[in-house]
Amino acid sequence: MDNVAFLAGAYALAFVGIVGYAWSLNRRLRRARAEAEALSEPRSEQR
Amino acid sequence: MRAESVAKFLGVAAVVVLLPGVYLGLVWAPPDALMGNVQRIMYVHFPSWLATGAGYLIGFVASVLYLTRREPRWDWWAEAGIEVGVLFNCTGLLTGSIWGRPTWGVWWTWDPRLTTTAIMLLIFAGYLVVRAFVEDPEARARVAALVAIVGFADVPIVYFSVRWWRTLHQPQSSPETVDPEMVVALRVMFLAFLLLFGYLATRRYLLARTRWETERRLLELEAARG
Repeated sequence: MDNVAFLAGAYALAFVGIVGYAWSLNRRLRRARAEAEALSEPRSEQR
Repeated sequence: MRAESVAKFLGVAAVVVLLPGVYLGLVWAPPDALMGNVQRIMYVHFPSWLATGAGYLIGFVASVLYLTRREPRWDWWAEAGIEVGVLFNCTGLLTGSIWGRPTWGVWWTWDPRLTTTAIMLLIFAGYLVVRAFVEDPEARARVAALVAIVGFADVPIVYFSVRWWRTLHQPQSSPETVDPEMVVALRVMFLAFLLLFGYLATRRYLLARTRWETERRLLELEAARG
């Protein structure tokens, strides 16, 4: 029975880690794109 | 936009393959005769190392290409491969540690395989730290490429450590010595983790590219202001 807890723990840790990274990556990408867009706006206004 | 479409495809494909893979590993494949159900950790542990290897190999090749061609896209790929490689290096070490407790009786031991793997994680985590500390984009890419190339020397040492030294960790298994149902489950999980790696690395590449474009634009604006 104990071994099943180790099994569940290993799967949970692995997938929480992967999903957590994917979530943080999406957030960083969204922020970087917003920043890039904000920088390109003054240029289009100048034109 | 092409990389964006590739990432979307890889993400959907990863989920489509991962769901049956987890079922095959947790339910369909038989438990190990000696270790019982805890051996099913293999279906996330082993694919994690495959994804780690893929990440560091991409990091190494892209770094060599950056130093020879000086095209920023190789630096973006190197950063993406290594960061996602570090993620899977962590999941590999964590799942291995959890597997080690009921089978070896310890969470961690300074065995050659485990030690060289921990060193590998430190080297590539160090690569990410180096990137964070160098401001000039070109100098950053150059220094990081050197760290990745030198650090990659540890990867074959990790792989061969179980053959070169007497270790607690078992050597690489062959499909002939494993139950065919276990081989099927493992191969499906290999594919799922490679797709997952591809999805994350492509998204990370897009992030590196967007940041580089922002940095370049900022430099242009600074130059225009004089």
